[in-house]
Amino acid sequence: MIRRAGAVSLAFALMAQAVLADPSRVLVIGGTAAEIVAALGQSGRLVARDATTTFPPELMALPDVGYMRALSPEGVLSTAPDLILAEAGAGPVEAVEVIKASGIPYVTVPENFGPDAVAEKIKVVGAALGQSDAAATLAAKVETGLAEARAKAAEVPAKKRVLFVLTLQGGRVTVGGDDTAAEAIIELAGGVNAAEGVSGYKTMTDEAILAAAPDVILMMERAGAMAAKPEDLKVNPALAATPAGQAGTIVQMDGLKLLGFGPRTPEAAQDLRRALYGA
Amino acid sequence: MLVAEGITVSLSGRRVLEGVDLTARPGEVTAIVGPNGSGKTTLLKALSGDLPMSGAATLNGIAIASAPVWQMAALRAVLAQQITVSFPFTVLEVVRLGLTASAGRETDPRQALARVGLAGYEARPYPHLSGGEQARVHLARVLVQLGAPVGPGGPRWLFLDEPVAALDIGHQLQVMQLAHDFARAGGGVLAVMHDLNLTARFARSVALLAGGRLVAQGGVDAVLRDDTLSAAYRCPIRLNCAPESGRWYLPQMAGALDAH
Amino acid sequence: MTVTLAAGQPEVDRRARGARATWALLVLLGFAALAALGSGASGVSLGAVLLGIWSGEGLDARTQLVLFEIRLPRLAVGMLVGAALAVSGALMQGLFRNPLADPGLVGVGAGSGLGAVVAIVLGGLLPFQTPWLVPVAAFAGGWCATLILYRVATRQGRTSVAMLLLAGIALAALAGAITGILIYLADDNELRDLTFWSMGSLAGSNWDKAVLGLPFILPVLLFAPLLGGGLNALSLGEAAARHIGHPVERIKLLSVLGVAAAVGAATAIAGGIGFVGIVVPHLLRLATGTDHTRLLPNAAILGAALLVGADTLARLVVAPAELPIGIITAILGAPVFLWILLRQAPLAEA
Repeated sequence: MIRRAGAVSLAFALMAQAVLADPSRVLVIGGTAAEIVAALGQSGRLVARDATTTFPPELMALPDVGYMRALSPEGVLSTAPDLILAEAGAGPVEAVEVIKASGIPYVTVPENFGPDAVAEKIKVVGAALGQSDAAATLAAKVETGLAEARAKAAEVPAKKRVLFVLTLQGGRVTVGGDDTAAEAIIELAGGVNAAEGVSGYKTMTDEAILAAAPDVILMMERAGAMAAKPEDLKVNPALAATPAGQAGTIVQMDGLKLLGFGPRTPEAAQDLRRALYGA
Repeated sequence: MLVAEGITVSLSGRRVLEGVDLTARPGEVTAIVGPNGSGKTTLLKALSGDLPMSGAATLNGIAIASAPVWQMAALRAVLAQQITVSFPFTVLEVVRLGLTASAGRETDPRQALARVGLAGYEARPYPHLSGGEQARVHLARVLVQLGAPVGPGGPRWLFLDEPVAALDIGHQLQVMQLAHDFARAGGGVLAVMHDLNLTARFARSVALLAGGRLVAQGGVDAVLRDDTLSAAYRCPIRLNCAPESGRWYLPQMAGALDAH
Repeated sequence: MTVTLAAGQPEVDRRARGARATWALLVLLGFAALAALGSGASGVSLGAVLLGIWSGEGLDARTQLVLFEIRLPRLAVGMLVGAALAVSGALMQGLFRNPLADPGLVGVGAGSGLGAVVAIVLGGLLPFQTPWLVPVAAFAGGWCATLILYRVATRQGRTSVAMLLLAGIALAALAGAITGILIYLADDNELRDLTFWSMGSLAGSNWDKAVLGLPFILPVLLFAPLLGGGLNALSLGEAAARHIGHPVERIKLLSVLGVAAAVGAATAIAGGIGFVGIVVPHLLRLATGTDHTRLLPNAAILGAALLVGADTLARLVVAPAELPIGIITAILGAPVFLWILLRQAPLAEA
């Protein structure tokens, strides 16, 4: 059976190679990758997207192949793409293997938030779509924006301590610690991550929250009734007792824009900096 | 022949049976009697292979403690005091459970049901039966397990733990008659009994236990006497005689009943 | 005499019904399998496949891929997992003499869950990466937990079912605590993997997984009915079953090992899927009675059909995406289960 998979995929690879030059039916998996496709002006080529794709809003009208970590191989193939652009976290592994075995060109877009990450993502997407020149231009523009953000961040005289709160469920506070996209964007906006020493996204104890003494609470935006209100901080007494809790300073931003590390990241850094320092 | 010598059983460190010797012959009903807590049921369980015991016990010459379960099952059937059936089987399905033993298949389950007075109950759900009916279903099941009273391995044995406890007087007589008939046909019956009158009527040999020890064993006349019973049950008991049924036993309540 | 015959009729009916049910269930499984093979997001239909074969034109590469590398292995894995869960449920219920028992009671669930979490969270530390890590770890975890439990519950050659139950609760708590520690260490992506693993899915099915599950599940399916007579007798209690001549300790050991093998393998290849193990045997007991020699094979067939059907729904409802199958089995299973309980209430009181 494994040999059969090989034979089938070989047949597919031969067929697929012919259309690789100019893919016209692109399936994008991952919100940041989709943003880049749109920023390159190529959203017309998209035939489907995954559940994490939320921007630009018109992409939401495309068929949804589900959450990127729980893909269905047949669902993916049913959209008949001639190119799949997937962020590195797409899965499960077995489903991705079958999808790759179909011979449809499968391009993995890196999923990180280091200094050159955004440019790298844009170049990968651009190359896959045959738009390397446009990608280089976009990458340069984003790089400039990021450099600007870094420069402004360095100028901030008294850096505010920012605590990124992922969830407040049941009064337990899950925060973004070291080596998270949340920390990266906070630093890019001229803040300091108040949750130093915590690795990844973790529940923080009450005393650690008090010791972290954040000036600002940063949260992801939720629509309507789900939106966080200053009163919500009161569910956790420790959080309410911090400077941020006392002053009721909550900053809320679109999650994908804030943490996605895509074309909108310079803008996100600027928005956050303005929210923190008013300039 | 059932021969038990020096049967001693300890449960959670306490000796509940101490050095009990017991002999039971095929062809007759052997009753084990004694007050509550005297070790009657424990003795029956030990002889059924349910409890770890010391001492020697053989059934038709086969060591009870070490014989494989299938060999014992071909030789004797056990009717325990209380049996819960955890799934809603039909009556016939419960009786057929006895068929799985190697000695089975000689007695038709329907015939066995008829013999315990439950003809026509085959398709009824077992949980819907009364306690007395359920007890008789299990009697039918052990009859099916044993088949004929005598098999190639010698006489077969019925171990009954208070077989009439849940029954009305008519069914008590019916069940005891069945046991008696089984013994008359060459099989062996060992029955734990509470009712001394039924014991006197159906058993030929009686073992009297008290405090985990054997007080007396022998014929009905030798064991079921005023003095032995009164001592064992710690209660004055007097044997009465009536011309038709032979004898019956009445406890003597302080004075009042004595007036006659 | 006539009375006996007339009254005996329903009994004959009941046993015949069990045999007829086997055929009916096989037909049902056939339909479920055809529906699973013939439907899916890609629109490849059985009609088109048959036409392609019949007309001699053969199938194009895409149809072949969808059919032979996606739907067929998924059908195979679904049937194996469904049958394994249902048969294991019936075995556990027979062993514990309780219609609500499930394989979780002998620690398989807790153990394989812990194994999977260890693999997902700590797998990154290994020098090599393989997609086999999670299934193998889940399977090993399930077996270890069961063997530990069995050792704990066995004294002087006799295994106490009550002890098995209590030690199982303790072991599940311990495994839960260790799982909790590991979840705390897990990063964001690992957490999401864990969530999806615990909901169960057939989305990752491939021939490798079917081949992995087959040697553990198929023997259990084939040999479980041989334990049927013993489990029937066990419903009278252990002592009575022994008196009738059943090797009770061997029946307990084989049941527990069989469940550990089948459920361990099913969990390893499809994650945690609930309710099949309780609903399927229960439905069958209502329809054809408790006789385990019939119940066990019928449970295998109905379990397979039910899971394949649920998976087909999971694939179609939100196509081209799909729902985790655990959600479908719970959404369908829980109301059915409640309905059964309500219907049964008067009988239980009687």
